[in-house]
Amino acid sequence: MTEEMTIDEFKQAMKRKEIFYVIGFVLGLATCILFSTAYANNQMHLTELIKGFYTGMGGGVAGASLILLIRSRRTMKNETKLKQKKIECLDERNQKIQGKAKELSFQIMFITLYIGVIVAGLFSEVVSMVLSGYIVFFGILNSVLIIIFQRKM
Amino acid sequence: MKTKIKEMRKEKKITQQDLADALEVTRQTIISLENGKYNASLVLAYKIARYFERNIEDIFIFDEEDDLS
Repeated sequence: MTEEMTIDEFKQAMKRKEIFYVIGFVLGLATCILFSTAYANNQMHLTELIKGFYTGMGGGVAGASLILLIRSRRTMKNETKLKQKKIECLDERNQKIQGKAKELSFQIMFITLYIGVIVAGLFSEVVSMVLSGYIVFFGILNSVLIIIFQRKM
Repeated sequence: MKTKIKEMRKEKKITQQDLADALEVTRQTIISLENGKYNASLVLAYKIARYFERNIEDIFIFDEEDDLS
């Protein structure tokens, strides 16, 4: 949401975002239920740690998605809050701050992933290879996105 | 970049929140603009100039050293 928007257009954009909250809630809940039921115990040969981790993660995702959905609904019902939310989301300084934070996070993540590849390789080849795969994926994704935006702008 | 936003706002006797509402930005953005910590985009600079009924150059003081950032 970077361009000038009317309040109705912003409302539509918020409604589209709510779809992701619903998907997040459903996926989180499904993960939580799947890995905490007898199916996970009997059919999947997973350690208690992994089952607990997946259950917790699913519950967290479902909970966060539900809270975001409720907040979004409340904001859309209140015109004053909706206008305030629109100003916060479209404020150029806020957008610049988020952009800079994402850029720096990406760079730091890249470096820590690289360190992770080296350290993980000392203990587990599989983990090292997976992390390497992530580095390659993010590198390619970044290059592709640069090309796309160069053509668009 | 230095600006004359604070002086012009006080001339009009309006608060930072009033100006923020008129420009549809947050009050924090107005504070940062007045302190020179944030450089407005061309669109925002034009909106500010239009609000105060002045030229952009009358409000935003461009220093050659600003270009280094």
